[in-house]
Amino acid sequence: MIFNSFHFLLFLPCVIFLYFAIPYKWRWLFLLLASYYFYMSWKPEYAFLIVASTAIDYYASMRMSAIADKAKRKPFLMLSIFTNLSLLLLFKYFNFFSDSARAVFDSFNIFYDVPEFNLFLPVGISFYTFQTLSYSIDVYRGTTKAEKHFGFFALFVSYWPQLVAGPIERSADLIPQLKKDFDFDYLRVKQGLIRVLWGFFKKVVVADRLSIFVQEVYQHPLDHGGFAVVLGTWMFAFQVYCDFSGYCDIAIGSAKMMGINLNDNFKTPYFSTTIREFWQRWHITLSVWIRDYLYFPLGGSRVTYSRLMFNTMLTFAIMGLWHGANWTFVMFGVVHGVLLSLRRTTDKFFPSFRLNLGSRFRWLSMALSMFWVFNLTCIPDIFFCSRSVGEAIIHMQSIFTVPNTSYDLIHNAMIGTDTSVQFILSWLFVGVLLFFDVVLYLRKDMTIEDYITSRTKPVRWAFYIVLLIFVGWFAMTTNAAFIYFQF
Amino acid sequence: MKKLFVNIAILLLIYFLISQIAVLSLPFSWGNTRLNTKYVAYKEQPEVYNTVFVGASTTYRHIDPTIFDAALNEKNSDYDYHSFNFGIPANRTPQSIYTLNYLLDSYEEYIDCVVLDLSELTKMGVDNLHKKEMIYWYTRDNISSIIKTSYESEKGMLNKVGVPALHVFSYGEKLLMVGMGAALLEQHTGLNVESLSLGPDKNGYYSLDQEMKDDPEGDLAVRYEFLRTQDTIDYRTRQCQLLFERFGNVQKGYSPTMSRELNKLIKTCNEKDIKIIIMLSQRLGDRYEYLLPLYNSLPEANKISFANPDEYPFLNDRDNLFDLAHLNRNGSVVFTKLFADLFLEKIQQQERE
Repeated sequence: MIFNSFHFLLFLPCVIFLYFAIPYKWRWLFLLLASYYFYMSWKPEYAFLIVASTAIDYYASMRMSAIADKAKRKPFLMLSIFTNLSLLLLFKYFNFFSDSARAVFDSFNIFYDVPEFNLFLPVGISFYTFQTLSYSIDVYRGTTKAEKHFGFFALFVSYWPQLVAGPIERSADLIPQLKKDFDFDYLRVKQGLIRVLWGFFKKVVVADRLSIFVQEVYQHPLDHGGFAVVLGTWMFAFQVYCDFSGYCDIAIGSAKMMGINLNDNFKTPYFSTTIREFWQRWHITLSVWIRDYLYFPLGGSRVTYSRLMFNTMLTFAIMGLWHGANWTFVMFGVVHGVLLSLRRTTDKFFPSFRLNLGSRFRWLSMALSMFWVFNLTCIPDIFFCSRSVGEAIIHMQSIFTVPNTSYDLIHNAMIGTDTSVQFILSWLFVGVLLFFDVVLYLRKDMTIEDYITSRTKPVRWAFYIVLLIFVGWFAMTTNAAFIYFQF
Repeated sequence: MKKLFVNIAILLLIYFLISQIAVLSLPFSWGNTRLNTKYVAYKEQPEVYNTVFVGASTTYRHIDPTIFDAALNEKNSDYDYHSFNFGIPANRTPQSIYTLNYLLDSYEEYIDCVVLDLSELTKMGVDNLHKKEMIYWYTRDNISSIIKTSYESEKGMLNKVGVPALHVFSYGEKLLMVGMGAALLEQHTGLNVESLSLGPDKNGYYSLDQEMKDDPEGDLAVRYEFLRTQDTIDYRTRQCQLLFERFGNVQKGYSPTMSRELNKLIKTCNEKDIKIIIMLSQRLGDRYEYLLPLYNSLPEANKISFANPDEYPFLNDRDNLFDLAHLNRNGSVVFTKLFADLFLEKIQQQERE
C-alpha cells in the first residue's frame, strides 16, 4: 500500500478511528495487525522476513540483557548483525556484488558461474534492518534496555507509518511512546492532518509533476543540451526532496494523530550553507545512524587528517550503497564524501577561506552560500538519478553542449507546447514549497503544523482550502511509488 | 472528536462547492487531446462539414473523409458531402454518444448526416481510474445509464458491482475535479493540441501507416511487427466467425439500457431531420456477445454491419491489415469506398421511409 493511493485514504481514517475506539490494552495488538496488513498489501511473503528479523533480534536482545559481561554478549550481537546483514545482502546486494565480481573475472578471462538470484526486493528492507540493528547494538552497549514484551518489540520493528521509508527510529524514542495511553487530542490530530496534507502536496503535486521532466531528461541522455540537463537536475533535486520529505511528512503526521512523535528527517536542507550542514538537515535519521554506528566506531573526527579523510569517504560510500545496489549510488555517496573532505581540507589549511561580504550583506553571503551548496549537492544527484555511471558521465558532458531542439523537452516546454503548462505549474508549486520553507527556516526550523496552528483562524482556513485545492485539482493521479521505497 | 469531524466536513463542503463553481463556470473542455485537437479544427469552420463520424479507433483509422466525400459526390450530384472524422482510440460507446450529442447541440444547423461506430460499452478497469480521458464525459444525465449498462453488460457479480462502482468513483472525481487542474489549463491556454493526429488532410483521419511514419520510434512499429502474423490473423478470423455464428441473430440485448439510448439518439436525429447510421465494425474478443444483440435491436435503415468476416473477407486480408484490429492505409481506402456505397443505400432507404 503506498501512501498516495485510494487504499491508503481508506486505511488511514479507519486505523486512526479504531485506534482511539478500542481499549488501551489492545491498541498495541491492533497497531501490530494494521502494520502487518499495511506491509503485506505489497506482497504477503515479505512479512516472513520481518517476522524472522524480529524474532531473532528479540531473542538476541533478551539473551544480551541477561548477561552482565559485555564480552559474553558479543555472540548474540553477532547473531543479530549477521541475520540482518544477511537479509540485506541476499535480497538487495547479492546480484550487485555477483555482477561486479563477474565483470572483474570477465576482464581476466576467468569463468564465473554464479547464478542470478531473482527475488523481488522487499520494500523498506534497508530501513527496518537498520532500525533493528541499532536496537541490538544499543542493547549490547547497554545504552538501552531490552524490550521484554514481544508484541511491543514487534510493533517497534513494524510500526506502519515509518516501516517502509523511515524515519529510522531508535527504540528508546519509539517504544515508550508506543506503550503510552493517549487520549484523543483535537489539536494533535489537527496538526497531524496538516502535516499529512502538506506531505501529499509535496508528493502528488510537486514531486510527481517534476518527475515528468526529470524522466525525460535522464532517460534520454543524448537528446538534451546543457540547459536542459542543469534544469532537469535542479528539478530532480526538488523532486527527490519533495518525494522523500513528503513521505516522511505523511508518516510523521499519521503517527502524530496517534500521539506518537517520530523524528524529523528533513529541516529545509536546501538552505544549508555547507555540505556538513546539508547532512544535518537531509535524511537526518540516516545521517545520525551512520554517525553513531559507523563513523564514531571508526574513530570519527578525533583522528589524524588522513584517517579522517578515509573515515569520511568510507562512511559516505557505505551510505551511498545503502540507497541501492548500483554503482550510481556508491558514486552518489563518494561524491558527497569528496565534497565534505574538500571542505574539511579548506577548513584545515585555509580557515579564512569563506564568502564574506561584510555584516551589512550577511544575508547575501548566506543566500549565495546556500545557492552554491545547493548546486554542489546537485552533482552527486546526477549519479543518483542516472541509470548507470556511464550515463551519469554523459549527462555531465551534456552540460557543456547546446540543445538538440527537436528532442529537448525542457526547451520545448519553454517555447509553448503541450508540456508548457506542466512545466510552469512545476515551478509554481516549487515556489509555493520554497515560500513555506523560507518561512519555516526563518522561524528556526519550526514544523509546518506548528506554524499553521499558530496563525489566526482566517489564515489557517485559507491555508487548508488552498492546499486542499492544490492537492485535489493538481494532483498527478499516476500513483507513482515513492523513490525511497526501493531502498 | 465531534469538532474534528465537523471541521473536516465543512472543509470538504467548501472544497466541493469551489469545485462545482469551477466546473460550472469554466468553458467546456475535452479530456482527450486527440478529440480536443479535432474539435478545435472542426469549430473553426463547422459550416464546411455536413457529415460527422464518431467512434473509436476503427472510425479514426478506417474512414477517410476525403475518399468518402469523393465516392459519394461522384454518385450523388444532388448533394455535396463534406465529412469530418471525430473517431479517437479506445472510445466507449457512451463517450461517442456524448460527443455526438455535444456536436448536435452546438452545430445542429450545419450537420445533415452522422455516423456512430459501436465500440466497447462501458468496459472499465482499475487502470482506467484517474485518467482525464475517462473522466470528462460523465454527466448527471448519462451516469445512471452508464451504471445500468455496465451492470447489464458485465459478467459475474463481482464485475456487475465493481465496474459500476469504478464509474461512480470516476464521476465523483469529475465532480471534485480530482487531478483535472492541469488538463483544464492546457485546454484553455490552447496547448492541449496534437496537430499530427488530425491527419494529413486535416479532416480527422490518420492512418496507422502514416502515424508510424511520423513517429518511427513509437509503439506502432512494435504492433506492426508482432501483431500481424498470418497465424494470428487466421485465429482472429475464426474467432470472429464463431462468435458471429453464435450471436449474429440474437435479438434480445444484453444491455437494454444502451439499446434504449441508441434508439433515443436515432429518434432525436429523426426529429431534427438528421440522417443517422449506426455502424458495427469487425471486432475482437467477446465484444460480439453484447454488440451484436445491441446492433440487432436497432432499426434496419439506420445500421450498417461489417461484423461478419465471411461477408467482407478483405477485412481479414493480411495486405489490408496494420495489426489485428485495424486496417492499414490500403485497407482503409477499400473500406471507405465500400462504406460510402452502403451509407448511400441506407440514406436513400431512410429518405424513402
